[in-house]
Amino acid sequence: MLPVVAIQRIGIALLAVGLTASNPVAVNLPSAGPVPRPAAASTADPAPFRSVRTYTGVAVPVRLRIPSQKIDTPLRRLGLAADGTIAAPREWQVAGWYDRGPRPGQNGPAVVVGHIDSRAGPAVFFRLPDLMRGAAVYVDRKDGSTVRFRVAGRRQVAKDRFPATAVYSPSLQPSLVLITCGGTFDRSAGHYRDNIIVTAVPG
Amino acid sequence: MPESSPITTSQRGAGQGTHGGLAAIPASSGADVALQLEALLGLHSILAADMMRARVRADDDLAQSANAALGLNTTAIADLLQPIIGATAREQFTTLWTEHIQALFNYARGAATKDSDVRADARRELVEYEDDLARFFAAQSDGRLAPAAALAAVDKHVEHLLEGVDAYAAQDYRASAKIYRLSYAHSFEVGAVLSHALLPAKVGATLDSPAQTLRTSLTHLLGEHVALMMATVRSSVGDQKDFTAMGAAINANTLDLTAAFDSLFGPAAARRFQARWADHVDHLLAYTSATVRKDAAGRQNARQGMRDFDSSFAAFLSAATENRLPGTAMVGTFEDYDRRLLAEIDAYVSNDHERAQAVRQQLYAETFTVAQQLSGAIGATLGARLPRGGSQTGGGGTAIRFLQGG
Repeated sequence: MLPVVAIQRIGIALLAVGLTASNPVAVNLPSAGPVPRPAAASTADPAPFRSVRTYTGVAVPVRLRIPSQKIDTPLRRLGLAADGTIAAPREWQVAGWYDRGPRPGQNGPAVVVGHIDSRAGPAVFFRLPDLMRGAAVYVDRKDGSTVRFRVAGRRQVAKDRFPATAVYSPSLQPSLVLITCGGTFDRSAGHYRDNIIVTAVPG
Repeated sequence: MPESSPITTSQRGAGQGTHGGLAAIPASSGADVALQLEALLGLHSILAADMMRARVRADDDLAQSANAALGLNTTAIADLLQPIIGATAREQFTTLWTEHIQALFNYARGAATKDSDVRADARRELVEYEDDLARFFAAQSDGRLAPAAALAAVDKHVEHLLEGVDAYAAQDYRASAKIYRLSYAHSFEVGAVLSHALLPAKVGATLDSPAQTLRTSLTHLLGEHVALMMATVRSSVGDQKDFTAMGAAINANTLDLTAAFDSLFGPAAARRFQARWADHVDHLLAYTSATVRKDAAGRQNARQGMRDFDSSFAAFLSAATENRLPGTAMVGTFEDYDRRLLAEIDAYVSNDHERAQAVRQQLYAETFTVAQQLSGAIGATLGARLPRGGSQTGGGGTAIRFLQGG
């Protein structure tokens, strides 16, 4: 068995494309034959080229809709709370988008947070824990466009073991993460003990 | 033997069998192997398309240089796989893979001469190789890759290449360039499928982590930039028939990179990135144009523009990553990169395809390292700013009461 370091070195050397490969396995190609050859290279002045210098980014989200759960809410901007968590929305019936991360439809995890309940009863994400895999989630954006996601997974995690790195870390894979509370309610602390995390992907 | 030569069978420990050589490797090293496989398959798709296009253009020199590079690429893939699948399977792979390249070339021959019989024969051969390759990969996966899934992956790869050369032969260069990009992207997907199937399960579990996907995406985008840049340069100094289409493709890549920076650092940083990157691309093509015209002053202006880019882009990256990518070191890296980019352009303009191909492959390979450094610095910078945990999104425990009908 090869030592680990040896394997790593082999890999890097290989990606250096095996330029000095001892035994390349090229196939035998016949010449072009009767096809007329192209004009000789390097005789014409190359065509002018200008790189693209305009960029239209993805607009900010303004509304979230999940028809199967009858969820339809405006989206407020959210930042960080004093304890470093994403600040909870101020309104029970309105969800919020974490605006220091990607916008929905961009490459990366866009995060939307909403309450599951208030002292008076169900809140905007009351039905989020019942979301089924494959359910459609729509995000309307400020420019009038809409991006559709499909629920890919749902999990319940203890808040004191919330997988922040896995959920929030930068990647270039587009996804939508919906977060609310779940599990049992800790009356002494005034909070639920768990979070419900729903992950959706474009489609 | 040169330091970068592939390791021979005896050095590797021949016949280790499935997973044998990687069983004790840390997941991080397995992740390297997975990304190298994706990148090598991406390069295969570019080289195969180049070879087929060259055959349509009756450009023997380019076809031969692309073919030689494909041979090296095949050896590199086989060398990478051997510790996983063993020496015997490596030989089977090499034979099947080489024969599928030969059939691709035969198809391009039919496309070039508009000979439907030749194309049909080649397609029949390719269908057989697809079946054989799919069965081979499925057999090596210990049941983790269904033959149907393997066949779908291989079939799509071949179809991209055939559709791409058909469009090229029909002079639908825009469609051909679009497929060139799709084929490259799909090859990374094939690499991911194979990595999940062939590498030990503990490695597979790490391949979808945010850090790994960020690194993979940046390797993909930067590697594509190198491939498209050189295809555009080649078109620029050749008959230019597909120059507009390749220019559009490289602009699409620039927009994808810009969108990536937007996602990571926000729209303002993305626009700063785009302005610099656009300058970089323009300077390279201006250098190409000046070289073709034998315009010494134009070449010098382009070189100066690239030096300005090096400083400006290094400062941008240094600021974005809070000096995790030190500006001074980055300038040195970019200057070295530029030197070889310009050498490659010089080689193309002087019709030295072999040298140009060699430099291009070195540059492509280095995107692996560049993406590793970039993704590591970005991940660390943004990782330090991540939210710390979940949210307090329950107001009073009433949800439970409602659910229980209380």
